[in-house]
Amino acid sequence: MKRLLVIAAALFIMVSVVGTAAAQPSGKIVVYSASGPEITDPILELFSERYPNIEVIKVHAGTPELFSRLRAEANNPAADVMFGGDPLTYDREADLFAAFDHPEKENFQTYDPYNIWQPFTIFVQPLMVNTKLVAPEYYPATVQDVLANAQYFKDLGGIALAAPNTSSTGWTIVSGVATAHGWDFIADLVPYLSVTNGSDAMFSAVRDGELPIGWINEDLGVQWEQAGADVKLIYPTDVSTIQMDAYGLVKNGPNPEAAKVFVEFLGTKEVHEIASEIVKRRSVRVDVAPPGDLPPLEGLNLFYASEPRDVVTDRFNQLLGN
Amino acid sequence: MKSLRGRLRDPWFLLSTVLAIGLVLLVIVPQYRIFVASSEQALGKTVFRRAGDGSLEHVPSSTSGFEVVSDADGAVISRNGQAFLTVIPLSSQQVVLRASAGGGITVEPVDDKQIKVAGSGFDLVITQETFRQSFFGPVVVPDPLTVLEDGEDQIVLGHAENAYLTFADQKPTHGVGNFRAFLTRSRYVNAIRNSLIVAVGATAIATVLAVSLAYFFARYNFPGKQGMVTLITMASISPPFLGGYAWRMLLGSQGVFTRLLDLDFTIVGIHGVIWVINWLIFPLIFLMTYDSFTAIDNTLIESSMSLGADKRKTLFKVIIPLAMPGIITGVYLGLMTAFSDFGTPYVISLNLNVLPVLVYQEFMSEVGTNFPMASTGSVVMIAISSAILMAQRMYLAAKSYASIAAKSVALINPPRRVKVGIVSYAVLLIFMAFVPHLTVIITSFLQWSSGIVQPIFTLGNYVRLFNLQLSSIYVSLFLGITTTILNVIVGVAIAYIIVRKRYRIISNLLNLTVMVPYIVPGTVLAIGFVMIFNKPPLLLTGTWMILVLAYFVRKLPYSVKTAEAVLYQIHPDLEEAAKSLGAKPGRSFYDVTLKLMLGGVISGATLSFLQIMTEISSTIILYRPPWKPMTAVIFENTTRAGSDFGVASAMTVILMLIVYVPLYVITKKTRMSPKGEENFATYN
Repeated sequence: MKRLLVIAAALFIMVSVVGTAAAQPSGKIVVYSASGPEITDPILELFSERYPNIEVIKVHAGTPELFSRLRAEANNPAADVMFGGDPLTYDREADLFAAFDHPEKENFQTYDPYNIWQPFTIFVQPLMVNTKLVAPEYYPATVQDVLANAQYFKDLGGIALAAPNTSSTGWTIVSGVATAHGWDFIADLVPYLSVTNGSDAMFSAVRDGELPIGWINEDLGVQWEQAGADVKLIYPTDVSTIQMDAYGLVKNGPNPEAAKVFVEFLGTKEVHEIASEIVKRRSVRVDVAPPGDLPPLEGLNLFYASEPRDVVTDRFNQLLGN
Repeated sequence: MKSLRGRLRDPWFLLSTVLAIGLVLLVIVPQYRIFVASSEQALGKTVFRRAGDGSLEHVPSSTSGFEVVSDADGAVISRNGQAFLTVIPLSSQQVVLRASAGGGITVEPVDDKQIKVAGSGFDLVITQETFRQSFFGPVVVPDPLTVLEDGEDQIVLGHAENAYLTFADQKPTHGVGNFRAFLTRSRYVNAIRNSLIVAVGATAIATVLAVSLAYFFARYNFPGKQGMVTLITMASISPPFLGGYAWRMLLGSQGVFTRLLDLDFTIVGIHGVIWVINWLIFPLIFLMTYDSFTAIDNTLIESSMSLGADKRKTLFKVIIPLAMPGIITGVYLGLMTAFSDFGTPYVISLNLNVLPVLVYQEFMSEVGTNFPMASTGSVVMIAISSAILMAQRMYLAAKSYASIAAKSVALINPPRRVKVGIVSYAVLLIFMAFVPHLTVIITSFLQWSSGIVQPIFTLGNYVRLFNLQLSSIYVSLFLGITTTILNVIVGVAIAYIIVRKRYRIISNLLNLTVMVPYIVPGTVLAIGFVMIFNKPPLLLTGTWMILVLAYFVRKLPYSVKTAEAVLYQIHPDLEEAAKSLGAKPGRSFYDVTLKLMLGGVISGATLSFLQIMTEISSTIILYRPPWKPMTAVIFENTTRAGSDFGVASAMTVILMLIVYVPLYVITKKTRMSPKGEENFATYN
């Protein structure tokens, strides 16, 4: 009898193991990532530990490239998950994504009522100065200070700003500063700008000392400060712009079941703890503390992108004279 | 003239028909599609902002093609002075739209954010955009865009609070508006100007360096010459981005040498682009020039001297003119490479717009692909490269110095001082061309974190590469080999038809079509492919086939021309002899001509293969996982601010190994056949 019980128990365990194994999605998923490997790699490492049956193939590129790809591939999608990019961009391109009702969404500070995008992290764009180029007495406390010393910065190469048509960070900064100080302020700033193609060029221009000052995503900026680059982050007291990045499930992707597992995984507490601790990003989860290296949001004067991309781009281009 | 029946029984005729159809589909149709797209102009657009106080605020900078007159009551939208729609604010969440000219108004809801409205003189899409005021707090669903009242000549729309309403023409019309914009708006004009400055500047410097060096190599005897020629040949094929990234690391404003020497200098800028591209094209010009210098008949030089011309006069009146065809071909290849180079300006400039980068950005734009503008840029690029090609052809046609090289130039044994001078000059130039390679080898063994290099030795980059990106190496090899085989087969077949068969129409058609890719930059070719092959029945985007076809088309002119050159050296009588002995056409070709062609074709094919391995400009538009070539991995890990350049440099080192070993072997074997040279042309 005892022996029979043992056999029965063993059988039961076997069946349940096989059963769960069969039910678990597996195979390959393709993730388009607008975030760099410094963000994706620690998360993917944990994912492959948790779900060894699912292999993630990642493609890194700028948000513009990836959304253009998704659009071009709409008839025959290659990607399963889009990771990174502004929720507003997802809103615009909502038809490329499948709605996903995230089981963790009650733990998020906000979510998409249409379930097209899932919020991931929020990040501020403080100013970043190159400490080798800029004398400490010229470190600005506000964005207004930047304009006040604009000629000084111009003489060192100009103020780095990503063109709003090539970068959502650039769009957010221009729109946020314009909301805070008016478009006339932007017009005054324009002659002193060095307008870069894309935000990566803006970031690395200041890090590499090609330009003295610009804006930076705080997570990358803090990592650079800690790695010993010649940069210093300054949170302007008059206007700090803030962005959210999101992810979404690509509609008609090749492996939707495994993709859902990944999308669900991205909302879990452990992923958000990685985002906070390793990647230095502020999680949207209410139960994950922001990284200790970043100043609390409560003390900042926060502004969001509040005008359509086209409107900001058109206005900005008009000021640039092209 | 054979009868049609006879034609149909001729296997070569059937083959040439199939090839002609295929090539027209691959080469002509995409270019035609781009041309059509460049004429599609979106006509009118305007934006209104609904403020909380119920006012209707017009945004003039976002208005084009329409005229908008606003007053206290509302706004009137007109086109060419013809008012067609009046927009009247009703409350902070309602507007009235009235057809100004009467004639009714029809409305068709699309979704929560879009409505189509049409009537006499207009066919518009209205889009609503809203912005949340905070990321935090309760989630609010904005009120949708809805039709509240649908009347005869007037409708009432409901929308969200503080919404932006965009009114845009639905259907594009055809016209030259895009070209007008491209040739007048400063953003585009600057890109054209910068591209020309870069192409001409880099080619000018490279020509001076390359021609002088080639002259010394062709005239003087000194130790290590063969090795140096091999090195320069190797430098002519270079992994993408390599030069730009390395020079920026060394001579950027905080670069290694800039800091070491305490210079107030940066290579970032248009001068840096010129500098880096110069080292990229200098080897091409050198190789072409060196071959034409060595082919000069020495008796002409001797005659010049004996007729009383001094050394200097002989150089400028005899030697350089005789070498001119080679120099011009080198200059042409240099101009084309510099003009269509995407990687260098992308990496080494902050805000420098050149045409390949501009076209790429119009195509890959976050706010949606701007097909018309990307296509317009493409057409402009093709026009400029056609002009360069025409200039080259006209020059060569006007000045043809054919000489039968009976006696090759006797090499001069220079005095020791001159020898040292020449060798140092050569070593310096070769060193400069290889600075990026050396830099990348070093950085591949250094530790990178968040895009910052640390002076710590590590093998970690290679370990990560083999763990994560190994498949890319197989993908690149597979694509390279498949394309090369396809190129060899089709190249030989087309060359045979052009040289031996001479069908009246089809041979000429083939001859013209195969040369078209010669003037189509990679970015443009890829955009055309996406346009043609992105829907059934020709749904190829995202497959490995589209990459193979794109590479195939890019290398087609070279594979056909190499095969032609080889074929001209084989006498047709050999094949006729086989036929007269009873061999069928296919058999006589296979047994006689093809076997004789093999050697020349293989070395040409190897060079094609190497260029495909380093191709970037069409790859980055067309690749899609899991078919991700090595160059795409390098691209991803080079261009992002926080990315891991360690992996990119390790991948570049592996790419160099894959490319330079076969190139070394081939160079050793083919240095005696000058005809193979055309294949050295990298044309990315």
